[in-house]
Amino acid sequence: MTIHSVLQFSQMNNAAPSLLNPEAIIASATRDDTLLERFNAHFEALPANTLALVRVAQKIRYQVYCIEHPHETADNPEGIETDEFDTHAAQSLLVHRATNEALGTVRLVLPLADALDRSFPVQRVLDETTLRTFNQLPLHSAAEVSRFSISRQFRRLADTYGRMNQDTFVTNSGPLMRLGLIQGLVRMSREHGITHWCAAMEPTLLRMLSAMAIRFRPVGPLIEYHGLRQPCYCVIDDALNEMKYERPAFWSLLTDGGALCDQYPMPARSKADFSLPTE
Amino acid sequence: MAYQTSAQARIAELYDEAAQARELASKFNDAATRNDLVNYAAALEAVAADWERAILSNAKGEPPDWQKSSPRPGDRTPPPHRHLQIWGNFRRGYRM
Repeated sequence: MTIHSVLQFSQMNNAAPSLLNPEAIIASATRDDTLLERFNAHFEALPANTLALVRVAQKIRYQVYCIEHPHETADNPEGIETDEFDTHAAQSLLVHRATNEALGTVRLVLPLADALDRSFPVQRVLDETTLRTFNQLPLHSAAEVSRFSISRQFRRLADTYGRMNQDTFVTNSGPLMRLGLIQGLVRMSREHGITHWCAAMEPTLLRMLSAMAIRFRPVGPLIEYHGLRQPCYCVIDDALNEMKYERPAFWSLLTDGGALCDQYPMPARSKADFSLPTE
Repeated sequence: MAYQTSAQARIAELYDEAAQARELASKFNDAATRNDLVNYAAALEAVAADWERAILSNAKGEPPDWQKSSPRPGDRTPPPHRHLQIWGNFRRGYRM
C-alpha cells in the first residue's frame, strides 16, 4: 500500500463508502448513464476532514509542487508541502475508487474573522491599488482557491489499472478529475458559507475554467508570482447558475445532482453585495 | 526560450485534455453530457490554437497579448475562415 493510499485512512475514519469491484466498473462502461453516475462509479471527492487525510493532501501537494512542478522547495523531511494558511483552510481529495489512491487535491483558504485583510495568500502579492479593490469583496464569506493539483505520477497508477482492465474510461478521465476537484470546492464552500472564490491563477487555467462555464473576473493587472498570474474572483452562485444552462451535465456533477444546492441554500442577497463594481 | 518550452508543454496538455474530453464524450449516450464534453474540448482546442498562433507570430517568446488579457465571456476565437476571406478578396482585386 502506498503512502498516499486512502484506504488505510478511510478505514480509520469510515469516511469513504464501500468500494466497487473492477468487474462492476468495466460493466458500467456500456451503461446508458450520466456523467455524474460515471464519476461516482470511478471517483470520489472526499473532504480531508481528519489530520490523516490532510496529510494525504499535503503529500500530493509535495508531489506536484515540489517534484513534478518544482515551484516550492523540496526540503521537507516528511515529504509534505505545507504553509501557515493550512491552519485555516479546508481541503478535499480526489480518490480513485478501484485503486483506493488519492490522485488529486484542492485547498480552500478560509477567511480569518479577526484579520480579514490578511487572510489569503493572494493579498500578499497584490499591489496597493489592487489590494484596495480586492478588499471591497465580501471577505467574510470569501475563500481562496489554491493548490489545485492532480499528480501525474499518481494518475499513471490509475491509467495502468485502466489499461490492465481494458477500462478506457479511466485513461481518459482528465476532465472528470478536474470536475471532481471542483465538486470538492463547491461542497467545502457550501459547508463553510462561502459565497466568493478568489485566486491568483494562470491565464490558461482561467480559460480552461471558462470553457467549463466557470468564469472568474479579474481584479487588477497580471502579477508575476511563479510565472504570470491573474488575481481574480468568482461569485459561486452566479457561476453555478450560468453553468446550469451552459453545461448542465457539468453542473450536475459539480453540485452532486443539485444536492449541494438543496442541502446548503445560500441566503438571498442583493446583487450589490456580490460583485465588485465593473470598470 | 524558457517561456516557449513551457508554453509548448501547456499547449500539449491542452490538446491532450481536449482529446480526452472527446474520447469521453463518445462513451455517453446522454446528449447533455456529450454536448458539454465536446464543447469543452472545442474551447480547449481554441485556447491551444490561440497560443500556437501567438508563439508563431512572436519569435521573441514574450507572453502574447491575449495572455495578458482576462478571459472574456464566451471566450471565442475569430472564425477560422476569416483570413481566407481576406486573401480571397485580395486575389479578386489583384485579378481586376
